[in-house]
Amino acid sequence: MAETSTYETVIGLEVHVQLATQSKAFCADDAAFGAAPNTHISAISLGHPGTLPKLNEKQVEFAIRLGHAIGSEINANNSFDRKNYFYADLPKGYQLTQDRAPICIGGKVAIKGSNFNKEIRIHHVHMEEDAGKSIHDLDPKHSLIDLNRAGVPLLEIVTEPDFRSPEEVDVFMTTMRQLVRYLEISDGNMEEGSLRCDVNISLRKKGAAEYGERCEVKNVNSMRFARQAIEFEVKRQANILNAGGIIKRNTLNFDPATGVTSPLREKEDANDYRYFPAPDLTPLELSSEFIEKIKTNLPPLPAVLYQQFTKDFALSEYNANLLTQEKAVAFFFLRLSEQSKNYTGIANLLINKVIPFANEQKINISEFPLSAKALTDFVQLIEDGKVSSSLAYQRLFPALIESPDASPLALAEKLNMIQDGDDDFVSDLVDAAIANNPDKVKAYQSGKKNLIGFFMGEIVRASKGKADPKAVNALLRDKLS
Amino acid sequence: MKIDKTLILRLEKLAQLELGQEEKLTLEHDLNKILDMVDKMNELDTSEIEPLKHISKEVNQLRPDEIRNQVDAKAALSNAPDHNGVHFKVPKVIPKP
Amino acid sequence: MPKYSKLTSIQNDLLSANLSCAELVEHYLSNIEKSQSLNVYIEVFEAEAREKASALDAKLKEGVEKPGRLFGMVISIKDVLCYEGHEVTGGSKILTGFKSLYSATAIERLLAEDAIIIGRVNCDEFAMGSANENSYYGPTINALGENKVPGGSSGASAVSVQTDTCLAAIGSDTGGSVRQPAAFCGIIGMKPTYGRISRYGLLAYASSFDQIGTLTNSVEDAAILLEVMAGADEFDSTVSRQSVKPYAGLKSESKKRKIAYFKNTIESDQLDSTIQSATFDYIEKLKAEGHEVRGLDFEYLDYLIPAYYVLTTAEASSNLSRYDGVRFGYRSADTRSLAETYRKSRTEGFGDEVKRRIMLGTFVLSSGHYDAYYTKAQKVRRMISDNIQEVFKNYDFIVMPVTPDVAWSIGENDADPIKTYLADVYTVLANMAGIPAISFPLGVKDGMPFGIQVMSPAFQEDQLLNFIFTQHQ
Repeated sequence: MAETSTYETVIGLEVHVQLATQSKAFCADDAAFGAAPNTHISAISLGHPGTLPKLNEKQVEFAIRLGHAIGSEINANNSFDRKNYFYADLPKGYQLTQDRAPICIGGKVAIKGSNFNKEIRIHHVHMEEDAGKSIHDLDPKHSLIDLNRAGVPLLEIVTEPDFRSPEEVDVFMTTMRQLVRYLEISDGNMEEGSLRCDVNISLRKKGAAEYGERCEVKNVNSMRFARQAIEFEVKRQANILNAGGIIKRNTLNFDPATGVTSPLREKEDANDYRYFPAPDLTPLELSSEFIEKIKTNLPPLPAVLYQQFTKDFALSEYNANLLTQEKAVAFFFLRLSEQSKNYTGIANLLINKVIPFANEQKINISEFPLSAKALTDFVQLIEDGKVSSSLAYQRLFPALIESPDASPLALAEKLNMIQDGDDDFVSDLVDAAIANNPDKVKAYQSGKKNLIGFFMGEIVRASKGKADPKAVNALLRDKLS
Repeated sequence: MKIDKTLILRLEKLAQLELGQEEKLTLEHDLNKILDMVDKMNELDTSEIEPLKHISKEVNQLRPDEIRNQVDAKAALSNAPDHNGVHFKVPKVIPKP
Repeated sequence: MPKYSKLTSIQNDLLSANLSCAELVEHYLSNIEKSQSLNVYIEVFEAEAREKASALDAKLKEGVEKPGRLFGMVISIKDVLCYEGHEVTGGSKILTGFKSLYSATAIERLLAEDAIIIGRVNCDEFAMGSANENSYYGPTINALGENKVPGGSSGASAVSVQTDTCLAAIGSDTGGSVRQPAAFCGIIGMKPTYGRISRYGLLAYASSFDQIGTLTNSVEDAAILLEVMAGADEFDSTVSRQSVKPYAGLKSESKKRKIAYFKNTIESDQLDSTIQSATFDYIEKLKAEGHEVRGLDFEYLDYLIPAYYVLTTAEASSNLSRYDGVRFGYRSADTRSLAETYRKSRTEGFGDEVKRRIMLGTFVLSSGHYDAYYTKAQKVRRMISDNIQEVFKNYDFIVMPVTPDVAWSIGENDADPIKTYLADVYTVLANMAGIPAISFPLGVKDGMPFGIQVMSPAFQEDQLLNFIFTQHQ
C-alpha cells in the first residue's frame, strides 16, 4: 500500500484535438473517421517521393478560434518545423508541427469541481498533423498499418503543470470537449480519438517549491483510463520515492486491461527529434484584420451562455449546467426562450422530456419532431393550469410526438385532458375522498401530514387526471384541518 | 568538434542505419575531415545576423478545405513490399511471454 | 539525319514535311542504342515514344487541332522526376521497382505541350554527387574523352543531349547539378530562380536548394522549356506566384550591361590556368562589346562549401527518412522487427555517399550541435545572400567560372570526398542565394569542354536569357 499523503500530485496535460475539417492538414485527402483502411489516402499522405505539403486554411482558422476562446495571444507570425523520428505510422519519417513559433501563446481555462475552483494556465496551442495507425494484435507476426489518419489536422494544447488531482483533469477534459464542440472545430469524441491527452505526472513533497521528475503517460483516450493511469502512477512514484529512489523520466503506456503503466517499448532513451524549420512550408504572416474577424465571428461560448441562463433566465446552476453542456441544446433553449418567458418551464421540459427523447431515438436535438411553438404552447398549458403537469408530461407529450403538427391545446381538448379547476368539481372529489377514508383523515389530523399525498393521489386518479392538483391541494388542506 | 565511435553509434540510431565496422571507421574519418572543412565558418562573425530560414519569399500559402486527388487502397498498396490487400505489413517483435 | 540543336529547326522541318516525328524518334532511339556503353538510360520508353510520335504526326497532318508549343521536342528526364505509371529510382537501390502514382507538375506541363519523353536517365543517387559516379546503376561516361566523368548529378542528362539521343534533358540542380555537367559535356545548363519551377514530383534532396533545370544545345530551347514549366502550382507551397514572363520571346539586345565578377573566383590558383585565361579572354570580349565589367571582392568564397554542405545534408537527412522499406521500395529480406526493417533496408538500399551525407546531416541537426552548425550555416547563407543582393543593386549580372578544371577520370577522386565537394565552389553560390544561373560552353582543354556561368537577380531569367542569346548570335 503506497503512502502518498506526504506528496502533492502535479499534473500537466498535452491535449490533442483532431479537427473536424473536410480534408487533411497538408493534403486534400478526406479527414473523416471510420473509413476502410488506406482509402483516405494519396501520394502525399503516403509520403511518396517528390510529394510536398500545402496547409489547410481551415486548420489555421480553427486554431485561431480556439485561441480566442481561451484568451490566448494569437501569434501572427508563426511557422512549421519538422520533428524527425521513425515509426511505421509516420510516412515521411517526420511530423510537421510547430516547435519554435506556435500559433497561440498563453491562455487559460476555468475549471470548477467539488473541492476546487481555479484556472488552468495554457502554455501554448500549436498546429500539427496526426500519424496513421498501427495495429499490433491482428497478425501474430506483423504489425498492420492504416494511413487513413496520417495527416489529419490536430491542435495540440499544452497546459502548465497546474493540475493537482485526477478530478481536475477530468473536469478540464470535459470542459475542453464542450469548448471544441461549441467552437465547431472538433466533435471532441474521445472514443474515436478526436480528443486525446498525454498526461505528465510528477510528485513533490507537500510544500516543496521545486517540481519533481515527471513521467508521461501517452495517448490516454478515455477519462476513466486517465484517472486510473494517474492513480496508478502516483502510487508507483510514491513507492519509489518512499524507498529512497529517484524517478527516472520516462514515457509510459497505460494498459487498461491491467491498470498498469509501463515504459513504451519502442522509445529507447530520449529521442533527439532534430527539429528544424520545415523548408517545404512557408511562414504564416496573419493580418490583424484576419485575426480580429475570427474573433468577431466567434459563436457564444459555454461560459457566456451559462451566465445568461443563470442571470437573465434565473435558471438553477444545475439546470444551466445541463442545458449548456451541448451547444445544440443551449441554442434550442434559446430559440424556445424567444417564444416564452417561462424559462423554468422550458428548462424542465427540455431536461426531462426532450433531451431524453432525442438520446433514446439517437437523433440530434435539431431533428426533434415538435416545433418551438408547439413546445412553448405545451409549457404554457401547464403554466396556465389547463393541464396538470403530470398528465401533460405522461400523456400529452407522447401524444404530441405522434401528431407533431397538432396544436397542444387542441390535442389536449380532443383527449379530454383539460383540467377542471371548477370549484364544485374539485370540491365534490375532495369531499368524496375524505368521506371514503375516515381513518386516514384521523391520522392526518393527529399529525401524519404526509398523508396528504394519499388523498391527492386518490383524487387525481378519480378525476382521471383532470383535477387541477393546485386547487385540490388547497381545498384538501382547508377541509382536512 | 570530433566525431568518435560513440557519436557514430548515436547517429546511426537516429538515422536508422547499421554500418559495418570498416564503414564506421571510414565514416568517422570522413566526417571529421568534413567537419574540419565546415569549421571554417567560425571565422565569420555572425553574432548580429538573422539565420536565413526560408529562401522563398512566399508567405501564407494555404489551400481551401476540399477533398481531392485521392487514390484507392489498391494503388496505395501497389508499391508495398508486404501487404494483405488492406493494410501495410511490417514484421513485429514477438513480445516475450 | 543532321543533329538538331534547336526546336524551331525541328518544327520548321516538321511543318514543311521534311521530317516526321516518327523519323525523329527513330533517330534518337538509334542513337540511344549506339551509346549504350556510356550507361545513360535506365529505361527507354520505346513503345510510348513511338506511339506519341505517330499520334503527333497524325495531329500535324490533320491540321485541325493546334499542336502544343513543344511539338517535335524529344526529351530525357533525370531519374529524380516522377512520371505517373513509370518507375523512378533516384539512381538508388532503395527505390527498385517503385512506380510513381503521379507526375511531377513540370512533367505534366511538358506533356501538355506535346513534348515526347523518350526515357529516364541515370544520375548520382538522390542527386548527391558531381560526377554521376554515385549511382546504383553504375557510372555514366562522358561521350568526349577516354573514360571521363560527365559531371553530376545530372551527368547522364548531359550525355543524353551530348550524344543526340534527345533534344533536351530535364534535370535538377541543387549545388550545380545541371550547370556543371553541362560544362563538362559542352552544352548549355540552366538553373532558374528558386521557386520559379514547381518542385512537386522532384525527389527531394535539399528542399531549399533544389530546382528543376534544363540541359540543351541552344539558349532558345532553354527559354521555351522554362516558359512551359514555370509558374504557380497548387501542390508546391514554395513556388513563386510571380507571373511567368514570355521567356521564349528572345530578342537580340543592343543595350550595354553592367557585369560583375568576383576576383577571387578567377584570380585563384584553384582554377585551372587554361580555364582562367579563357575566362579572362571572355571578360575582355565583353568589355570590347561595350559592357561595363568590374572585378569585385567577395569575402565569402571560402564559406560557400561549408555552409552548403551543412544545410543540404541537414535537409537531405530528413528528406530521405521516408525511404524506410515500409510502404514502398526496397525492403531487406528476412527482417524480424520494425527496427530491423528500417536499419537493414536503409543500410543495404542506400549507397555510401548518401549514407555519409545522411550521417553528416543528422549530426548537424542533433541536439547540442544545431546552433554551432545548422544555425551558423543559416546565418552564413543570409550573409552571402545579402551580399549578392547588394552586388545586384549596381550590376545586372555576375559572371563566374563553372568548374575549377575539366572533367576528371572515372574513379580518380574516389578517395577524397572533400576534393569533390570543393569543386562545387563556383556553382553552389546560385543555389545559396536562390538566383538563376546559366552555364554555356567557353572552350576545350585536352579535348574536354569547359564552360562559363552568368547569374542574374531573382526572377530575371528573361534578362539572363536575352543576354546569353545575344552573346551567341
